[in-house]
Amino acid sequence: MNLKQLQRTIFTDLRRAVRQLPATAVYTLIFLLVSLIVIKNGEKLFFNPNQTAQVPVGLHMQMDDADDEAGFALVEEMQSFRETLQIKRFATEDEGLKALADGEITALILIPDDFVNGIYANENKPIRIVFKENNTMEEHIVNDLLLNSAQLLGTAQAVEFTLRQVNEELSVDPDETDAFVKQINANDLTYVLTREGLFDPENYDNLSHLPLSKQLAACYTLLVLSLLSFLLTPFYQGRKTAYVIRQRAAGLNRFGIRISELISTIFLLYFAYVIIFTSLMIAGFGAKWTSLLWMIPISAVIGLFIHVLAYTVKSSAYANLVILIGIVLLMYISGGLVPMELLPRFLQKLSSFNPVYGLIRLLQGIMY
Amino acid sequence: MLSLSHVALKYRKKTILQDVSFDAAPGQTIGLLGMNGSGKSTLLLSIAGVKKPAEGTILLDGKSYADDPRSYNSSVGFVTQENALIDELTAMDNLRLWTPMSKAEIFDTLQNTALSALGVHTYLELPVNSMSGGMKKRLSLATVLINKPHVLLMDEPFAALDLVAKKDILNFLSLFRSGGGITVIASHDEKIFEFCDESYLLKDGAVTHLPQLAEKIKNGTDISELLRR
Repeated sequence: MNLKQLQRTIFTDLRRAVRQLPATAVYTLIFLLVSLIVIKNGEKLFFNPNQTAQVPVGLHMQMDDADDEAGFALVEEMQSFRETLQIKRFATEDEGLKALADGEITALILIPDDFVNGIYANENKPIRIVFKENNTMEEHIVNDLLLNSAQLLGTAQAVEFTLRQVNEELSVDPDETDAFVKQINANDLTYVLTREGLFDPENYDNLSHLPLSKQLAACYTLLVLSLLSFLLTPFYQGRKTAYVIRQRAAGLNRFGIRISELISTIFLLYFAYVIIFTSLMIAGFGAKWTSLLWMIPISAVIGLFIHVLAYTVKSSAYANLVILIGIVLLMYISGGLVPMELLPRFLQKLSSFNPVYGLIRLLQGIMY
Repeated sequence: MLSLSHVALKYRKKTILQDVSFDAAPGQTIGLLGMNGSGKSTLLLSIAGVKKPAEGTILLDGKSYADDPRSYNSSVGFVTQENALIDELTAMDNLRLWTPMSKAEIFDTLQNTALSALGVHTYLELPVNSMSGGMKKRLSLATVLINKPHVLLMDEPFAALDLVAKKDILNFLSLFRSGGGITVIASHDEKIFEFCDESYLLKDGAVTHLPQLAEKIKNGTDISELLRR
């Protein structure tokens, strides 16, 4: 291969790409505007706030003393739990796990032995939450509820309240109770209980705990970048046979021509991501700064895909059809257009065979 | 000297030309006449080194493409029937794709050498998609000739050109010929064959020499009759 010709071709293709920048910016902004409307209103569009249902959740904790019983009774009485969760108690962990496997419950909360005393001793014993293998809407509810419970209600306050109630029942001197409470505060119990990792979820996809708007922002970013092929496919299919012949006569084979084109595609896709990044920032869904770096290899993967499409599909009209039917469908069953949890279970299971699903997860991890 | 000796060309295992032999000395212009699909363009591709002949040899100054591809490439310029230009870019950007010269060197070459006959230096900053057919053809020619090849291969150079553009190109070809350049032209256009020193008919897979075709055309011979026979 004539490397000097390759170098000249890369520069020429980049010059050509630079002339595509205004059109790329317009396409990106149009697609993005539509996406932002969905991202901003995703919660309202996808979920009905007036519809509630209880999620069956298992709980196993040692009930050794009155403190434990009172603590459990308190949690069960919390309004947010009562409305959302239907808690089933299990005497042993194995019983709970069996119920989980049988589908009786959606999640199993395993509170470690001596948890309350551990708190007093300033020990960090995480509460295990075991989910089923597949992500479902219910699992999100449980996880979000538990995390929010820990953070907003503050288990510390619950323990304090329990302590006061128990001590009252046991006729403990109120001054002594106050002393206990002070000790709790001194140990900064609220901090201990709301620290990250208090809950230790198993079989739970930690990317799914992203807020819906951020999940959708990542998915729509991929969609916008993929739809850029509407612009880029004709860009490459415009290549004339004469051009290829001239290049071959100048010592550059088809591989060299495609390498050069791929570089300019990556350049254009990256430019589009910079627009997306800036727009998301302005709209309040700002992605991580490091995503600007990670998007270079991601752009290469998407660029390669667009490239293969441009060369394997006969005309740009067919290419656009393939994108509309193929990619949009793949994105749909990847949870790329609507949250995965809203899809039927059999489609959720298909996700493991879908490369777009992996790409979306990767993009979510990179951006947020 | 360009020498073709017993060249056979195949397309998908089917022989489309066989036993093609001719020599072209410096300053000579060779015309290839033939119907569509007769193998004219394929023969030019082989001379350009893009398509390897199934049999026979193609030598330029005694060396084949395989002996030294880089040197061969720099000695042969190929003007394809369809232009190889990038429509969104300017004439200058297109020229820079095919030559290591700087902008100043390109401008100097186009203005102060025989290439000035093409007039490309007057529209260097014009995008290709704003050019007429004649301007594109002249630019195509310039992108090839900017590297000063010894052999110029042209596939249907007059297709869809107006009279002025044809005249400009013929003027340039006269200069190229007088400078010792070898030209091989595949065409249907009678005007071209008036200009050629030697002409060959490509028909039914065989190549036939047509002696003194230029004189015959000037005397009123209809070349379409040659194709019909």
